[in-house]
Amino acid sequence: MSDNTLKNERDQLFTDLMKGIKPKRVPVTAGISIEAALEKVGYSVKRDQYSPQKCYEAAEEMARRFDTDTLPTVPSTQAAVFRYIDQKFMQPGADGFFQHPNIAPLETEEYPEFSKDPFEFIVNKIQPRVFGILQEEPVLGHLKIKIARDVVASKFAGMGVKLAEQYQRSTAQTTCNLLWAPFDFIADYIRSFSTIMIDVKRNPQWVLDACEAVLQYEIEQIKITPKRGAIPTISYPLHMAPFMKTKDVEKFWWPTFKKLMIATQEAGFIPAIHYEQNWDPHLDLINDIPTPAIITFEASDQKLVAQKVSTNFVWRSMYPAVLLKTGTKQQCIDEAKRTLDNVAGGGNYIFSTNKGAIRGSDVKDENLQAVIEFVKEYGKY
Amino acid sequence: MVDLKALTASVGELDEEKVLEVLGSFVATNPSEEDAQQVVAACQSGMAIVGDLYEKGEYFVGDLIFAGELLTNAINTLKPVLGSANTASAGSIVLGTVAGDLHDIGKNIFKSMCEAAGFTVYDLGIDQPAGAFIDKVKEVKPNIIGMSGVLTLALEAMKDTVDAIKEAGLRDSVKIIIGGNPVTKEACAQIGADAFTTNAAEGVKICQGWVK
Repeated sequence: MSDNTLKNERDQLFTDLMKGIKPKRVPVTAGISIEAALEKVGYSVKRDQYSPQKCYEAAEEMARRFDTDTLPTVPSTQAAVFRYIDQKFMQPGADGFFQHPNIAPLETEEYPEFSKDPFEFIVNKIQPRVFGILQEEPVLGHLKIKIARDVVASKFAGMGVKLAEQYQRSTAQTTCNLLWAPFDFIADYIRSFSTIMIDVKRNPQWVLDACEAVLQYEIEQIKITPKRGAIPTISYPLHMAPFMKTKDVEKFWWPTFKKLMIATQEAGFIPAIHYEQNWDPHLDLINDIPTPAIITFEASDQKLVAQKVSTNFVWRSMYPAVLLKTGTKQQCIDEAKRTLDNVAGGGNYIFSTNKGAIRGSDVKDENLQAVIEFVKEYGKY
Repeated sequence: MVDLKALTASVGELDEEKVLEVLGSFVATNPSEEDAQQVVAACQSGMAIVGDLYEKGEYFVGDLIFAGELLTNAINTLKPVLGSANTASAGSIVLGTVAGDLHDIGKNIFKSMCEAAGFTVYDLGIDQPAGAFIDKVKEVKPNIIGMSGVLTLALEAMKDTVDAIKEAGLRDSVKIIIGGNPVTKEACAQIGADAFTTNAAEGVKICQGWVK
């Protein structure tokens, strides 16, 4: 039986935060993707992202190198599933790294049919257009996809928990699902980034109807999501609003997003909302979401966030990741001090970088290590 | 004849319905090619307004995408009266997303804005190796090469491409601009490009400055 004192202390930091209690110190997290971890230990993304054992070893090495309060790298990837089902949305580049091409599997005139029953439409029309395996096997393909997902999940099962215990990292916050703002779901998976911007101008009512339909579809997904951990979260990486005028955001993007956040909370989950890109033009909207929620900013101005966004939210990130790649150790520490001075005063802040490391060269180890140690000390309340 | 100022304003306001209505009526009058060219120029001026409003923060990327679509529609409407005479090109650009990167939204916005500004654009597409840029440069002898990318990895591919262009002896004959999320002043210097931007409207102005 291992002594979990350190892990419990770390869990406490997060549970205090969620209760609105100022924790002992600012919790420190880092996001290093499995691809970045593999590259950092000298493995090949192209080959080794398909090996659960290599992924585990890489994630373990990251835990050894970076003493953050949660695991820096979670040993898990869907790469094998994407590849097996030939997912057109997730295609590997020449070096094996998966990317999301801008494709639109729904034709304009199909909007009304989609909105009538998104689930039916996605399974029967969208998936056969974007999952290569369904083109070869229209019937058995769905079963094969399900089996592939289960097999891959089983290969990684338990690895994260084992590592967290071994390296005494908090597991208080558990991501139970990843969903999308309804408008973003349509943009990312149904109509593409570019096309939905044209739909907004030419067929506004169709877009509004589709957002409402996707909202209901996602609420059903929330209902069947198993709840795990002391702080069960559903992650929402937001995408399109920073590319739209506030007037359009208010009309097309925000209303169904807000309803989805409320539905998430009513189902007993905490939304972990990632305000990607620069939300500065729309910051005034953010307090319109009820708390509790953990909110992450990618490119927004720290001082503006501190000035405009309610401290009833738990804030996260905002440290400029690029510095960890290009800066000196001292510059990185100075910036960490500036970040804490700007946003940690309210006792509602989790330290992390504004962008995760997605490739091995994104972060210099010594810089990140120095910043982690500095924040643990300087971030004491 | 069309009220050119009003047309420019309608394009600037992204009022597609009005623009197409005006152009439809204009085409129905069976106008001269010269008049048609003036109307095209008025639409292009409208696109410049869109670019300015974007730089001021009043328009967003979504508006740029729609503006590109609107202009394509406008030119298609005018095609029957534009005739076969080639209009003078502002200059030529070989454009592509570099090797290893599959993203093209930013590249496509830049492309449509360059075309709106009168450039001839040769779009190579996504995930293009250095050799593809070099072959096209040899073929069409452009004024400018535009390289785009979203991944940080793209910076390495951009450097490789510029190095290959140098090796092929073509570097002195072109200006090179890089664009996309990861590009910075430092990256630009390291890659050996002439300019960088994360803003399509600004990128068009840089290119216009080069071909003056």
